[in-house]
Amino acid sequence: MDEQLLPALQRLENMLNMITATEEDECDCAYVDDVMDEIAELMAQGVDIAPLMPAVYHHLQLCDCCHAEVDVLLNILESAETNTTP
Amino acid sequence: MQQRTNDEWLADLGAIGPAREDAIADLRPILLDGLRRGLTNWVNTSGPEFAPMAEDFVQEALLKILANLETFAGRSKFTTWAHKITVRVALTELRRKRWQDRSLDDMLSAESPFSRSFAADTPTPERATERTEMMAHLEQIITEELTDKQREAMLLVPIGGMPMSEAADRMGMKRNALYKLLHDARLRVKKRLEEDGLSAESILATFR
Ligand SMILES: [Zn+2]
Repeated sequence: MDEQLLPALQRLENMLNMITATEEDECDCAYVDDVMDEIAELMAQGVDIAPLMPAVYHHLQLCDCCHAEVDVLLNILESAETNTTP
Repeated sequence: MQQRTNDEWLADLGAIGPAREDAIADLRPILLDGLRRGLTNWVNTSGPEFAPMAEDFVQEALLKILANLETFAGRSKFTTWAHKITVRVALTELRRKRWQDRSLDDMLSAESPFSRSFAADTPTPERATERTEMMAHLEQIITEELTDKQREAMLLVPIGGMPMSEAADRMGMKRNALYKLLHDARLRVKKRLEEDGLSAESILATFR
């Protein structure tokens, strides 16, 4: 339980970093969810999505949940390439 | 196991009778295997407790997949789309388990960095005053610019490190609505910091 309590300054820094990265228009989790399967397939092919879908890339920097879901999906797709199961 | 195109998956899962049962029976092990390969950074996927947990996740995901077949846009492989839904179910539940011992009230009182005294680890009294004043200024900005709900969200997510899906659940909101609430909050604080001539760098420099 205690390891989840980040030191006070680190928490302040997290908040300030997110505020600094904030843009006037950001896409939301629903939009990213819609394209997540598509972008995970692109990433598994080695495509850099930052220039291709900058708004989605920006969302993934700010949203821990969508970021983690893309990571797991990518893990599934990449490990499938060395595996017989789709 | 039968190999299927996207259209064949949709047709079979949308059918009535044995075609649908066969398709579900084929999809289930694909999703289970996906979780086993995908969740290695989250849980011990070779431990005995993994299989029943993964079965539960896949069962819940299959219900969502069957109920939402018409939303599959066909821009990926059908199995990738089905994995996406399964991953969302699994991570939401795993985050809930990780955070289940943390009460909202504790988070809201303990996570605030504004209540912390910096006097003890400060080299000079002037520096301590500077830090105390900076914290008071930040707290004032947050109090003046944000609604109670926005302030609560800021304390839980960016400051407290609680995952958005979990914070949304505790606050009785959808994750997407919480993202929008936090976006508005971040934007308001960003604009106010700019008006007050403060940058993240200058604020953090006070504490280094
Ligand atoms: Zn998101």
